[in-house]
Amino acid sequence: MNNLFYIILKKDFKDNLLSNKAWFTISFFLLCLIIFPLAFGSSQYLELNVSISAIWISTLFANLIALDHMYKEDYNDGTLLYYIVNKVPLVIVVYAKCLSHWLFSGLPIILIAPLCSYIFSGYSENNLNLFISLILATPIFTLIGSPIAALMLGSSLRGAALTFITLPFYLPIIIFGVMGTNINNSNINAEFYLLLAILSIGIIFFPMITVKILKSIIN
Amino acid sequence: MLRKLHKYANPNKFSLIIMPIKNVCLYTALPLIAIGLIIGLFFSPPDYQQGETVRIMYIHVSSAWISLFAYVLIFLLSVFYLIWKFPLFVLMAKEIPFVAIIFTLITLITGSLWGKPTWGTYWVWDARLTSFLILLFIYLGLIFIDKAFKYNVNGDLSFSYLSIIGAINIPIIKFSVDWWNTLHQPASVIRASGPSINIEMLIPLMIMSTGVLLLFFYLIFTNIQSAIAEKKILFLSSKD
Amino acid sequence: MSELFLIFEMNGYGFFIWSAYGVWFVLLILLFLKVLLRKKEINRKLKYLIEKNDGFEE
Repeated sequence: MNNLFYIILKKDFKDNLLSNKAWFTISFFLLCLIIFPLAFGSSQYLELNVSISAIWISTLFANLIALDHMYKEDYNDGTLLYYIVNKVPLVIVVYAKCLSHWLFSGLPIILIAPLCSYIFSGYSENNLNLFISLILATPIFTLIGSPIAALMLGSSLRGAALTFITLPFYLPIIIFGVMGTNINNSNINAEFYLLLAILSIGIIFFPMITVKILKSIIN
Repeated sequence: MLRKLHKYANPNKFSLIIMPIKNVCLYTALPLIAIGLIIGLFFSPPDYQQGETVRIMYIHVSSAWISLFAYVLIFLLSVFYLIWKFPLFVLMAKEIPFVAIIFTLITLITGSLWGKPTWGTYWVWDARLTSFLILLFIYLGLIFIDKAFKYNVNGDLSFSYLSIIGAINIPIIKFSVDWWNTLHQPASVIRASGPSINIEMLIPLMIMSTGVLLLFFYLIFTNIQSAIAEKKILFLSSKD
Repeated sequence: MSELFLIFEMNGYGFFIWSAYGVWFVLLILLFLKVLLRKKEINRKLKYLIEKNDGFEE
């Protein structure tokens, strides 16, 4: 079981690295981030609130863009069908997919975001909050996105529809994440507990639904 | 029990069965709404805190209940479809979002018109208002996924799974006013310790809600009949 | 006349109340029309198709 997980994870890793997709999400994030100082039009530091919202908006869109090719290639070239025919448990496949997707679209953003926040606003005291709330929020983005990406596999107009349908489900996470980043007195961290609660429910619930969806769509 | 219901699962028979129910719904809904409007607008007392603006409640609260109830209905029908695989269930569920979206819009617009005199602003980014806006976008997504999968077998499955994922939002909306302290007033009719609202306001509200609920059912049933006929057209035109 | 005006003014909140009721009414009427027009259109199409297939429905 563990062995199978590593094999699938390694395959996904290799696919991501070889097809240059690994750099796509993080470069989209940076590109999206650059728009904000340009759109404000001043050469000074951004306000702290603006830089936080810029980072969250860029994270949201980078994750949405990356979602499209979560299952697409494996569905198109028949790898998913191959897994089902050979009775590979789909739970393992889904968890491996989610993990590799998060490693390429969540982790780089988490690592680079505090630096970006410092460069943009010249203010570094809330960096720990930003780091923690991003660590909690990006896996939730991946987990919520995975069943919806699986749903849109059969549709002809996938990209636009996927973005439109997924966005409302991301909104509560954004709300709590930004509230968590803005905390001034770090005694009360209710938002982090809430995000953690959503994450711990979601890590069971969403892969389960994804497995059901993949099974019914491929058969 | 289920075996007895089997004979109603035939769309043609179902379409004939709901015909009389539909008409009863319409002809009781219209007088009820008229009575509710007259009592609510001219005979009910003004609130001691909010004054005359409380009259907006009769349309605002009834449409809010309908839009939440519609989602619960979609959710249940989708679960039944996934369990028993009767296509009729998902056919019914697919007709609801369009009607429900209008009621959600009514709720948001009348709510902001009520908010201006009582809170001072048309809109605040408050837990209940935001979660209702998210409900509107989830309804839009459901309509969109239905359109994206036109003439595709996976469409039914996708629709029902998406509605199940979206159901997480419903308890958040219902309890948001109790969990967070927001500008929006807490629930005053449906709560554990009985309604806290004045009986003279409760009567028109109940009349109005029953009327709007029956109207909602009339619209849904008409749409279901149209959808069944649409399926028939598809079948007939594919034959030649 | 002035009494009637007083009723409609609602202590100065008339604009909000009447526009809320107006929006409610207009949106419901539009929804009603949409549903009925769809039904009419589909019934017309169905009748045409059934006639074309020599009245054979099932």
